[in-house]
Amino acid sequence: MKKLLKFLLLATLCATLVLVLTACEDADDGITEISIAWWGSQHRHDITSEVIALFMEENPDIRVIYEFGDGDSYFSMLDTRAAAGDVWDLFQLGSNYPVYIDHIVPLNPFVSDGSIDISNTTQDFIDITTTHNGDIVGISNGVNAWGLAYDPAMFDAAGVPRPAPGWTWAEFEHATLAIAEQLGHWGMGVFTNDAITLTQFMAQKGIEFWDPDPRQLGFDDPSVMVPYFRMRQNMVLAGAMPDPGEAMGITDIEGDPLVFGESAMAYLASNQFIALANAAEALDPSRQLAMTVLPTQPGGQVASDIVSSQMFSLSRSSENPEAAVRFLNFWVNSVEANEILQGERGIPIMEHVRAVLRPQATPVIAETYAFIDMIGDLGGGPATVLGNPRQAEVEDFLNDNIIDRLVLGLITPEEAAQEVFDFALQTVGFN
Amino acid sequence: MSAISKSFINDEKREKISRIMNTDTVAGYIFALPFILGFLGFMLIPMFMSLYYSFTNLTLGRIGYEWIGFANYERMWNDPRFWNSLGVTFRFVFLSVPVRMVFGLLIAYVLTRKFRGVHGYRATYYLPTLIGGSIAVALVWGQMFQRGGVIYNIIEMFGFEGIHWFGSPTLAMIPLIFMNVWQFGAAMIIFAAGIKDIPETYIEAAAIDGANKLQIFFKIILPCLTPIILYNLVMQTIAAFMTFTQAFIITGGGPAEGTNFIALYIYNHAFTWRNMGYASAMSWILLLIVAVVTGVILKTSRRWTFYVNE
Repeated sequence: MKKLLKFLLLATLCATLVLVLTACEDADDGITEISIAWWGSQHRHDITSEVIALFMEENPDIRVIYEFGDGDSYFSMLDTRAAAGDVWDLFQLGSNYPVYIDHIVPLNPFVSDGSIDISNTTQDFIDITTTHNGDIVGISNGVNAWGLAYDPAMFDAAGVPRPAPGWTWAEFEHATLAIAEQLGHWGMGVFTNDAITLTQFMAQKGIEFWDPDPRQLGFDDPSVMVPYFRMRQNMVLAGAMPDPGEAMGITDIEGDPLVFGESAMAYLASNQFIALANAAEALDPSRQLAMTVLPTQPGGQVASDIVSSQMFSLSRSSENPEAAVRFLNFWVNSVEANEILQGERGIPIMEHVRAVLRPQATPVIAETYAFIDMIGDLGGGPATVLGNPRQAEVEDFLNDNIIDRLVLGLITPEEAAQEVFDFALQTVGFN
Repeated sequence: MSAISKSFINDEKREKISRIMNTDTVAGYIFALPFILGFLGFMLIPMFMSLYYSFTNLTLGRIGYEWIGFANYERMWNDPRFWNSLGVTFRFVFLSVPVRMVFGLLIAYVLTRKFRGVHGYRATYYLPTLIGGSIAVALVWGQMFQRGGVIYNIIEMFGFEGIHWFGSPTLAMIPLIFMNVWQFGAAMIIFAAGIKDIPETYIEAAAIDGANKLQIFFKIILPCLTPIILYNLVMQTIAAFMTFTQAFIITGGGPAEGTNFIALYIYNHAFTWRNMGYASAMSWILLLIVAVVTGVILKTSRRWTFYVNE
């Protein structure tokens, strides 16, 4: 027994020593190691690792190790690493970047010394990932814009004019109600996130929801939200939009009622249109969906803004920022890499990359290019990126509490507006 | 000379060590070491760290935090969502625990009677508890009650309008309670053991005196079972207060926060909105509440429990 114990102890000791020694050895072979992580689908993992392999082939002095996961597991990994102060050299972030701002190194010096070549894009595209302090927090992996996908055939069948750029929220509401009445389907599916739609609705009136000061809101009169809430309540109570119980069954874009012909419109980001249209076509090849801009205020500003779908940011804990930046430059500028990626993360911001990819696009992908062009033609430049570290908390309250009670008829639009305002003001106060 | 004395000391030392190692307590501690380490590392130390964090503004993803005194506890006082989730949780506890206990007791009573195949039935009724509070079960229950799900369609088949269980803050609780009641197995097993433990003589004596089945159940079995009922009540109440999976998977706390259990609300603050400090504070208040409720149950139990041996 004693002998066995001794043996086990020795074995453990040896194993630990061997592990420690190999770990030390690793760092000393003249190769710089950088780490990178992202979230996404299996398809994204496959093409991203392919690009990483290509990069290592061209840059034998750099070894890239990578990790990935779906959205939830990615952010729990990131949170753990952030707490330990050991974030990957390059890590993917979306519009929630203010939460991690402590961990991001601004890229400005690398852009000005040319390590990251931005000569093939416009200042507007750089601005969409730049904070109001002028810090470039990342280089966009691609752009998209919120819009509406719709089924033109259903509009025709209901005798409602198809949406045209510049249509108003009143026209949108009318179309939704008319389609529901004529066809017995929903006119509109779900808004993925009412907080985003509401922010856009307000921005068209020139009012920002958030303020550059994280402890403030961008507006002080709750009544600006009332028309939005009134429209939202009307449509659900009239049966033209799913109620909370029905909406609960709709969890992803491939399960959207528009795919099954149960609604005539869906709210989405342009890169989601590819999955939506493919799913609808798989069920019924005769269906041809289209994309259009969000409704706007009468005579108001352009409805859809071009936003960065996500970006890679450089982490403060990076020990080899130069190597990481070299990868980043390759990632956004290499035509070869982007031919593998095919704009899966959004339409690339580099002109020379777009020029190569556009002719290769399938009809569905071509529709998203046309959509982004449509916004460009309407003069919808990139919006200022305003967010708040407590945004998710306020959005959850708005989506899961206020909207539910509103469309169930438990509160009036005026009460909804007041409650959202009070809650948001109280919550940003904790910043 | 010196070599001899050295070896002598060594021998003495060795003897000392082996004497210590051979005492019963040390052997016991060594065998319990894996548990002790786990308990310290994963329970006790994290618990007290969370008590400390509850007085800070620790935020996941942000570097550094500050001591903010009782601010988190004050925030709770003014947080309507916190009070709502407490209310929802209490409603769930008060509705689901009694129903589950009654169900478990009845099935246990039936299954302790002697008839053919009783063992098979007992195993079958225990099955739902085996697959337990797993995510898969929650997903299935969610599907069943959803628009177009089995339950919805059966109700429609009988000519009624399908009920949107998850479309109303009050109705949404019902499928969750059903799911909780359905997993009565653990309570059932303990009840069954308790029923079998009741001396046969009591029941025979009552039968000879002319008591019918109902009277025997209410006058003999139930009173003898009160200690078991107490145990089950305490365990089930604590478990119900911590209910999380059903709401997390099926309803996400909705609609209109009608199923936003306190455990789910704490989880969201901790991991979705990253307010670790605030979430820690709420956890300690939840611990306090569960302790008080358990204390009240134990305190009042003296009036209604009956011990055969006393």
